[in-house]
Amino acid sequence: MNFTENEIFGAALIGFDMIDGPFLKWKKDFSQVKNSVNLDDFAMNFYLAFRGGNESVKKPRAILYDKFYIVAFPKDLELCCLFMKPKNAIDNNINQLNKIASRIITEMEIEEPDDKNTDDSDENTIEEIKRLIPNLLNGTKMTTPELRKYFKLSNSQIWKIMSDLENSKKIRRTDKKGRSILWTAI
Amino acid sequence: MLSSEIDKLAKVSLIGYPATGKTTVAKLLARNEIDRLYFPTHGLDLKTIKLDDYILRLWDLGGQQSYLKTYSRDYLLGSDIIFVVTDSTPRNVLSSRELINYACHFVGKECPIIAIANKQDLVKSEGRMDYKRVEDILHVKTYGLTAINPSERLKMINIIKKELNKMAIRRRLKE
Repeated sequence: MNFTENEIFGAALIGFDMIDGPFLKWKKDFSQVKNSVNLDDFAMNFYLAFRGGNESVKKPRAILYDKFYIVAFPKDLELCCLFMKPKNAIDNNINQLNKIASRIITEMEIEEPDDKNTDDSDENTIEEIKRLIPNLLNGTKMTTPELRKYFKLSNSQIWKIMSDLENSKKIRRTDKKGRSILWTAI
Repeated sequence: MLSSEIDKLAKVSLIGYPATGKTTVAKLLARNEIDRLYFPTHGLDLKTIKLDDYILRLWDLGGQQSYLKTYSRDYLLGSDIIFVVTDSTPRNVLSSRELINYACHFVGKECPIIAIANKQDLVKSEGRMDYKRVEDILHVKTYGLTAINPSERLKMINIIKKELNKMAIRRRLKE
């Protein structure tokens, strides 16, 4: 890549939980430059700034602040934010930044432990997830790993939920995508 | 803006938990295309609708907990009508009761809180509650609706018109 460490000084991945909303999933500082933004507090603001409203509304790709700018790349419900020092024009860099964001998302998926953020899934939350999944699958098909991204659930928890929903005839298997089962609402 | 124009402005807020059909209700009113694919509203979505002489500002608030906690207080202020949308499942209706109590803290008595028992097409097939049962639990005026059905637009329009007339009377009495 043509970027120096000084140009990208940080990155963050903001996830979206269907019940709680946006949350900071991952962050990393690439240089000694101190990130002046408290990402834990601002994750939701960034998420809304880049993705607010409904899908049909035009969204910004970058937001320029006083001493830095953020370029954001959405993927499904996640948003990868790259924190940059404004040296080069964003237009020239956008494709390269997109590749970096994709790599971060991929690395994040590989690194993500199976049981992360899953301790607080109480019975009410599980029941609420069971209400939401048929809505997500209404008129569309998704694999279990794709659905898992919408909630803070472990692999075993999502499988238990899918199995319960299948038994109660709320969802059904339609096909396979690679090794994963595709589901749809009944 | 002229004072007569301000008199005709109304802020209508739609609140409710995720996937209850708030955006579909907003789309129904705005005559937007309604599809069955669900995509969550992030933060809020605003729509402006002309209804007779009135200009309605529709505030469609995302139902996720963090949005409700952080933004509902500010967003609900100044509402002329609040619709609490439920998907008519027993669990969601009970949760909506809490939401109504929560909304009551931020608005005065002059702002009516009305429940929409959505997805009434599923009452028989999925055992969802009919709107009268929902009304018994929520203790607020409740209307049944199937927002994905475009022919229900007139029903929703009539509900709003009825409330706008009451709002106009309240405003005149204030003067």
